[in-house]
This record gives sequence, C-alpha cells and structure tokens, in this order.
Amino acid sequence: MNAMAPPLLGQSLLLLAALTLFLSFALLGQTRLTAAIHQFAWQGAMVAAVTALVAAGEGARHLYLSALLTLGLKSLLIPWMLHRLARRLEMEREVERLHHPAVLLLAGTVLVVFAYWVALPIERIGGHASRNILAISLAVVLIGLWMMVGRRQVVAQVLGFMSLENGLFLAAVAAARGMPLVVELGVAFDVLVAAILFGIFFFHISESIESLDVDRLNRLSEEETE
Amino acid sequence: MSALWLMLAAPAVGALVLAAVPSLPLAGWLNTAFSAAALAAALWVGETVSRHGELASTYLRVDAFNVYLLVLTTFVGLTTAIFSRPYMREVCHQGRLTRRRMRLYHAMYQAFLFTMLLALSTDSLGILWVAVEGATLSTVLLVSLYRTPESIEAAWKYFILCGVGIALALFGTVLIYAAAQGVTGEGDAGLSWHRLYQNAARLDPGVMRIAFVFLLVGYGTKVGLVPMHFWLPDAHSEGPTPVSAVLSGLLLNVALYAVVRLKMIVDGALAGGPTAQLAGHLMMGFGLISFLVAVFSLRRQKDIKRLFSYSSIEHMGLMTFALGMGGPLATFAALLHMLVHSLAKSAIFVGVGHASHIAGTQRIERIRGLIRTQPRWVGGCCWGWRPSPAFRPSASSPASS
Amino acid sequence: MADLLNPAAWLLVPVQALLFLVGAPLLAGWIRQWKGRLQNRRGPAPWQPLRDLRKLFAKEALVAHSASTVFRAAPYVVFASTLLAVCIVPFISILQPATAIADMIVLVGFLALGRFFLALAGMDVGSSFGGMGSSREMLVSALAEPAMLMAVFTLAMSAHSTNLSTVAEYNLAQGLVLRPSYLFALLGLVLVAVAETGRIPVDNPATHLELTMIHEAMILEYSGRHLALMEWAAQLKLMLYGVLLVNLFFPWGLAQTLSPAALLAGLMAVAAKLAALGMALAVGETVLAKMRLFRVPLFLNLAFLLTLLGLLSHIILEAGA
Repeated sequence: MNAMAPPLLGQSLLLLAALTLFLSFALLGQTRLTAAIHQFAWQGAMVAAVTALVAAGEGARHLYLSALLTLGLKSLLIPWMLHRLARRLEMEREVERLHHPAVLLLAGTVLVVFAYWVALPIERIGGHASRNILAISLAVVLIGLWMMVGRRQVVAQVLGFMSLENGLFLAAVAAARGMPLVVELGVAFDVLVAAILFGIFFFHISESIESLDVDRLNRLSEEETE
Repeated sequence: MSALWLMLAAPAVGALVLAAVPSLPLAGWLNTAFSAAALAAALWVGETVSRHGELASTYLRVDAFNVYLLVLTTFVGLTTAIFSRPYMREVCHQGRLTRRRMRLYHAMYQAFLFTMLLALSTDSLGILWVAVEGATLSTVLLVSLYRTPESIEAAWKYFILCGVGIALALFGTVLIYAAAQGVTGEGDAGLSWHRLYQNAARLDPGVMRIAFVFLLVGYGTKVGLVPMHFWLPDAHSEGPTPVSAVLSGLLLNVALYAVVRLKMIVDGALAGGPTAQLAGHLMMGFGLISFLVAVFSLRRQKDIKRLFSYSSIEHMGLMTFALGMGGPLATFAALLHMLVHSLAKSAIFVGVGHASHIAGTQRIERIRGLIRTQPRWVGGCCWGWRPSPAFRPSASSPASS
Repeated sequence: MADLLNPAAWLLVPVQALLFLVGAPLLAGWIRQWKGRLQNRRGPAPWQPLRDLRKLFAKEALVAHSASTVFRAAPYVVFASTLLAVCIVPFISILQPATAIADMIVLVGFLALGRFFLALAGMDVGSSFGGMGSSREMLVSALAEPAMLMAVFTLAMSAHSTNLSTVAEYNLAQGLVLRPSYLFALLGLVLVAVAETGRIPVDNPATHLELTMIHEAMILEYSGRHLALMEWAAQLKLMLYGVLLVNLFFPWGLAQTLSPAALLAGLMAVAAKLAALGMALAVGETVLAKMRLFRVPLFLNLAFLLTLLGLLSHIILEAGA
C-alpha cells in the first residue's frame, strides 16, 4: 500500500539534519547567553554525528577524522572559549531583548523555503538523500546569516557566524562526502583563529564602548561630516 | 620548484621571527629584508615560468596569469615595507602605539603577505579559500591597531562582512567539489583548478550556475563590489597607512583573481547551453553598479582616505566589468589596469598617509599648504595621481575606453 | 478501512463514548494522584472526580439574575460538542466507522464550537473574572489553533488523507520509522495540548487566583449540574488530546479487526499508554512553573514553529527522497 520506508541510516541522517535546523532556530530566538552557547555546542555535536554516520555508510575513513575534529572544535573547544569569555566579561546572566521575536523566527522559516527553492535544480549529487540535506544545510547557512543581521548583541552575532560554518560543514558532508583532508584542516584552523580573534575583539569593543550592543557601534558614518 | 617554496617560505618564516623580535628598529629592517627576499624569489619564479611556460607542484601552480601578480604583490609588499619602517617608528614615538602592538603589526604584515602569495600560487580551490580567509584574519587586528572606537568599529565591520562573504564563497566551493565528484573522481583532484579547467565541459551546468552566484557574492565581498562594499571605506581608512596601502593595492587584486579563475571554469561548464554568458553578465552587472555607486559617493567624501578607498571600489568595478566582458583586448586592459592600480594606489595611500600624518588629521579641508612645506611630496603625488582616469594620457585609459 | 454498513462496527461508537465518559474522570484523577505523590502527599484516589461529579449532579444549580439563555445552554452545548468530538478519534480500533464520516478538520471544528460557547458563558453574567478568563482563553486558542492545524496537516500529508483512522492505520503499517516531521509535529502538538487543556505551564487547573486562572475563570459562576457538565467536558477534552497523541504517533496496540480479543487488547494498550502519558504530565506539571500570561504567546510561537518545521521537514526531506 505504501512505499518501503528508507533504511535506518538514511532515516537517522534526515533526523539529525532536521535537528540541526531546529537548533538553528533555537539559537535564533535564544536570548540567554549560556543557553545559546549550549545549543550551539549541541548543533556541533549533531553535525559531527552526521559526519560519522556518512563515514560509516560510505566507508570513507577520513570522515571519521573530520567528525572528531568537528566535535572537538565546535562542540567542546569553542563553546568553552565562549563560556570563559562570558565569565570574564561578566555577561553570563545577560538576557538580550529582542525587538520582534515572532518576526525573527518566521523570517527564518521563509529562509528555509527559499533555501529549498535554490537547491531544487541540483539534480545529480551522490550520497544519501543528499539534495534534501543540502537544502537543509543552505537553510542553516542563511539562518546563521540572518542571526548575524537580526541580533544586536555581539556574542549572538558570533554564534550566528559559527552556526553558519556548521551549515557549511554539513553541506560539504552531504554533497561531497567531505572535502579533502588538507582543506578541512585549513578550514578548521581558520575557524579556530577566527574564534580567538572574536574573543580579542569582545574585549576591545567592551572596553571602548562599555557595552556589547552593536547598535552602539555607530560612530563611522558619512552624515556627520555634512 | 625551490623558487616557489622559497617565495612562500620567506614571509612565513618572517612572520614567526618578527613575532619574537622585541626591538623596533630591528623589526623594521627585518620586515624589509623578508619582503625583499620574497620579491627576489618571485622574480626567480617569473624567470622560470617565462622559460618553461608554467611551474607546477603539489597544490601549487604558477602559469602565465598569476606569475605577474606574484611579482606585483611582492614588489608592492617591499615598497610598502620600506615606507613603513620610518613611518611606524614615528607613529610609535608619538605614542599612538605600544611596542607589543608593533610586534603584532610586523608579524601580521608578513603573515598577510604569506597568505596572499599562497592564494595566488595555489592550484587547489580549497587552499585558495583558506588563504583568502587567512588574509582577512591577519589584517583584522591590523585595522584596529590604534584601538580608537572608530577603528574597532571598522575592524568589526570588516571581520563580520568579509567573514560572511567568505563563508558564502565556501559554499560555492563545496558545490563545485560536489559537481566535480562524478567527473574527476574523489579526492584532491576534485578541487584542482587545472583538472577542473580541463574537464569543465563535463561539469553539471545547473550546479555550476548556483555555485558561481555564491562564489561571486562571496569573493566579490572581498573585491568590494557593491552592494557588499560597506566594510571597505571604513577598513581602508581606519588602519595605519601601510595597512591601507596593502589592503587597497593587493588584497582586492587577489580576490578578483579568485573570481576570474572560477569564471574560467564556469564558462567552460556553461558553454553551449542557454545561459552560456551568465558568469560574464553577472560580473559586468556588478562591476558597472560598483563603478556608478563609487563615482557618486566620491563627491560626498570629506575624509581623504575614504575618498581614495571609494576610488579603489571604482577601479575594481571597472576591472570586474572588463573581465566580465572577456575577449583578449578587454582582458589585457583589465590586467594592465590591475597592475597600474596596485602601483598607483599603494603610492597614493603612502603619500596621503604621510600628508595626514603631518597635518594631524584626515579631513581633506584641513590638509592645506603642503606645496610650501613639502614640495617634493607634492611632486611625487602628482605623478602618482596621473593614472587616475581623470588625467589623460595614462596607463589606465586604454582600460577605461 | 472502516466498513460503514456493518452494524457491529457502529456498536463501537456508543461503547467508545461510554468508555470516554467513565475514563476521562479516571484519567484526571490518576494525574492528580500522581501529582500528589510527587509532592510528597498521598493524593486523592483516582475515582475521586467521579465522586465529585455525582455530588455535583445532586446539588442545586444556582443561576445569577443577569444570566441569559446562553448561560443556561452553554454547559449542554460544550458537553455535547466535546462528546461528539471524542467519538471521532480512533480509540481502541481503527475500524470505527464514525471516524470515516468526520475527519480532523471536523474535530477541530467541534472543539472550536465548544470553546466559543465556553467563552460566551464566561462573559454572560457580566462579572469581571469571567470576562477576563474569556479574553485570555481566546488569546491562547487563537495562537494554538494554527499550530494544531499545522501538526494535523503534517500527519495528513504523510498519510494522504485527513481521516484520523487512515492516519493511524498508515502509521501502524509503516512500523517504527524515524521521521523528523513526526518528531516536530509530536513536540508541537504536545505544547498545543498543554495550552488547550489548560495545564501547567499555561494555566493552573487547581487555582482560583485572579492573576492565574483562565479556564476556571470562565466556569466560576456555575454550580450544580451545570458545573458538573463543564468539568466533565474539560476532562473529556484532556483525554481526547491524550488519545490523539498516543494513538496517532504511537499506534501500536490499536485493534485492526473487530474480534473481541483484539478490541480488548486495544483497550488495554490505550489504557496503558494513557496512564504513562498521565504520569509524564504529572511530572511535567510538578517540575515546571506556570508562565506569565505575556509569555504564553512565545510558548505558542514555539509550538507553531515546531509544527511548521515539521511540515517543512516533510516537504523537503521526506517527500522528495
């Protein structure tokens, strides 16, 4: 009466991809900093799990290494660094006030639909249910982008950037069974350096404008010279 | 072979050494020395390529296109290093910078050169991405070197906007890799520009179309194409003068080079189909819009460095337009324009930086009377400003016509 | 597929209604007993709500001077619509014919009818508590209904039908399948169920403080048999949502034939599932605190987002693959 359900591996991949997307939304609307960092860590763990499953399914050994790399970097190291930063800047209990939380989240769903539309023409890509997971990963990228635009607090913007990188990693795993190891190491290194630089920046910004609200970063403008 | 490795090793080693050297005068001389070594190695590479046609190794490839960019980059790197030595010493004496930050400055300067040379000489699209992102990361701290609120804001904007742009470029790179899987097989060959260029006709046009859009938007952010240009005037005007010189003169070129390399693959993939000219048309569109927006914004500028950074946007827009048009004449014009623009713009920023340092401000109306106090500088500037499209005849007029 | 011409099958309908009428107060009592135990008390016996209903029916129904016919009619309308609604969900068997003539949209409609009259009744007497309760109830249901519809559409799109029995049968035939769309729809529907049945964290069913009551405010003026009918209707609604959650998402145990053995097994299976759900609800109510009313829209936004994601997951991840 109905089609055979896809095998367990495919189902788990879809489930993990969907949970990654859900965590993107959770990050988008999460105003408490420590909760947001934890959700980001979970998202990194989901992406690492997807990588490990694809490695198991395809027999690609180097993917186990990149799964480990993602887990270590995105799930453990960077959240730890952000926690330490939040503690030093005394921001742990800070709650950001979102202007229009409903609009923020619903715009995210529009981005999901848009990502699906963009990915529709990609017919021939190998792997398990790859085109759909590619659409999900593009959605995660776009939601990360939207988070950087729509949130005012700098740590939230950084989390948006990192979640964008999570989406890119998911795309690489889904579409192409991971990039060559050299490139992955390079990307991981870049992400780590970026995280360190973000940390340095928070201190500079917090010292210079006494807050971490980017709306206050508004001295450079072309109108004031008229 | 060894020339290539030497050329890459010189700035890499320089970065590590300069991070450890505490003495400021020594650091200035070392900076110049390492840049000179890189230039010498690049000239050697150029000579080898002119004899053999191209130079290839694992992950590296130098052919007729990027060899002159390598020489240009190392040359401008050297001239700016020569200028930066006394200039930064003066700035340090004025008290605007500490010794520790000078160490950071010198180390990051060499690291920046290294990433640019790596981006220009690599064959792998993945390493190209890593190097361009590395170039952004190494200059972010340099833009905010003076630690004023304005420079921190500029550096933050630069970091965020370029980081986002680069991330989109990575998505495009992933798509290309995915499209290449079926054609070149697995592994590194899927990212090798050379292999992709050879097999371009067999790549799936649908995927390549989407990939090129992402790549153009991504790398175009670093080129300064409108509407992704908002970081450029701030970043180029708030950093120290040598940093503005290399950012304007060199980094924009590297990003444009990346776009052109990718266009070559995409054109091969789309050829013969209904959207064969897509890449060219997109580049022409973005280039034209950048040119127009920059030209209209030039009038409103009161800060001299911002004025010249909008001029950079204008020139890059023109070059993108010409490279989008394709064909041998337009491509030659664009490459000549690239050469002249790099030389002239770095010279201009150096001169302008010197002037604003003397006058103590970057506002145009307050920098006055220099022809009396600094006549030689004025003469140099006049020569430097000639290549701008407003003055004829000059090297960039064939490009603009 | 249910056979509409089989009189034996139609017997299931009044049997189901009776089972619901007896079971709903039992379920409410079960939850209350477990809440008591979790709070270190002994808790009332599970059949205490039945005793309460019997007591209320024997008492006199007092009606205010300013009450209109709506006030007198509302308990009957609310009770009747909820009773009709419980007849059209698959309870112990998927072959129940009433589900074939009324689908999930009709179910939502019945519940809306009941809610409408409940709100009217709250406003009818003109007391401030009643009006406040009605406006709060309308806020909650206006935000919860789109989420419920989304969850229901997700299920309908998977099973290609809006008939609840067909959906349960489809899920039964598929076996254990990890579907992200179902996961999201389940989570969203749980949040909606909590909101619609007036449990913590949306509304406290045991409070009469003006700051905190929603459902209790609307039935504050009722007494005697009117109050009995209103309370019974609320308990039926709770059991209805419970049955929807357990039988649509975890349909194992539903009878696929009309043999007495299968029906009995179905009854025991659904009773066990409801008991487990009741305990989970008791734990949730003990652990969570009731939210401020102004945070309820955020809660329901989350529910809507989850169900919308479920629908999108279905279209993006499952329909094309």
